[in-house]
Amino acid sequence: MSAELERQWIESAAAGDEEAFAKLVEAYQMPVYNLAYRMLGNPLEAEDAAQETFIRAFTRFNTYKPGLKFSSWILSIASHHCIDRLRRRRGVVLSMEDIMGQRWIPDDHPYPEEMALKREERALIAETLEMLPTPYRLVIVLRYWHDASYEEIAEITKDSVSAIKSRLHRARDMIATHLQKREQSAQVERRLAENALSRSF
Amino acid sequence: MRCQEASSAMSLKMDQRLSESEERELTEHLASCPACAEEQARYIGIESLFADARWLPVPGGFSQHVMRRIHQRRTRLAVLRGFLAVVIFGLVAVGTLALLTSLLNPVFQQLVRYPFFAWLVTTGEGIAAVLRTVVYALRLVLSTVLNSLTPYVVGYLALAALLLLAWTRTVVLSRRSSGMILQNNSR
Ligand SMILES: [Zn+2]
Repeated sequence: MSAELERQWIESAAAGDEEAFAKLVEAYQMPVYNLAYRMLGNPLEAEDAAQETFIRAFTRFNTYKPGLKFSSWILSIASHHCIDRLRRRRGVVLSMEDIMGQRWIPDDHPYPEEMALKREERALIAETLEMLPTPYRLVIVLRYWHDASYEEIAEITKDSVSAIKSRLHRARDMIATHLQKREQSAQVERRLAENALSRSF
Repeated sequence: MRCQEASSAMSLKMDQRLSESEERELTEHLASCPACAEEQARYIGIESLFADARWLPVPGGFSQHVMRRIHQRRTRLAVLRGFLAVVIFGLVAVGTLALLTSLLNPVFQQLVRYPFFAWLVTTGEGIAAVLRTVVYALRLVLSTVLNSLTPYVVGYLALAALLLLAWTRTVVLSRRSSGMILQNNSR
């Protein structure tokens, strides 16, 4: 996708052209959907949140500033929408349409042998993200999944670069502590199991 | 370098945000501080955990579904806006007609009694008479309106102006951004 082509799509979409906007959806559905998936931890809700993100973008095109990177703008809408959803999570119930329309969700590891090998690791990633409070989860997802720089993260979250620096540091601290605790409890369990085994003989 | 500085330097290092001199300082500190060296090992563990971070493919038909939802909302909004326009213009038209009829009734009655045609023919001052009649009529209308500015009439006029203004604003805004009203309808 050339920058010039994208600029034309943005211009037409801002004027209400649905076809041009559909091109932008195609171009940015992957990063938006994956941000929602990592933030919400649920593929069905992520799909709905990603769709809602694009609908909001279309109806609020007047908030887009031409100098801004389109990806930053759309990811900013997506992050704020996901944070909103997480805030009122207890009230959220999936509608009948969502449940009936449930599609088969392809796995990110298509090869079975690799799947078995990586299942534990994927569970650990999901668990780690879930443990992080929302603002910390957001910077980690943007940093590792979207490969965003400090400046881009700041643009998306509307915070300062120095705030992002310290938030990433704090997030890494939390993850390190979490992984360490997890390791320790696994060791304790192993020792208990060994003791039980040796006592039974 | 103290441990606290070393810790934040380690985070920056993971993002390739350390200058050469800062990196040298960090390496020196790590060589002499086992606690920080251990923390760095944990940070590297995080990097390798997330090195496997991957994107899931987007569910099939995603963009078509988005566009369908956008199209449906726009159609619904256009119908709603048309309906609102009819209702508002209808109300304003009926109200204005009723107000004018009741206000101008005494004016009509006065004019009928005014010997307009007699003056026109007999004195030859037709044009002057017409002008005087117009001025008289205007004065009459003005004084009638001013005398009858009850709170109800003022209230009606203000409401009509407000409704018209609100309507033009939604139309103008929607042309610019295709539906500002929509943004709160999502829930
Ligand atoms: Zn230290």
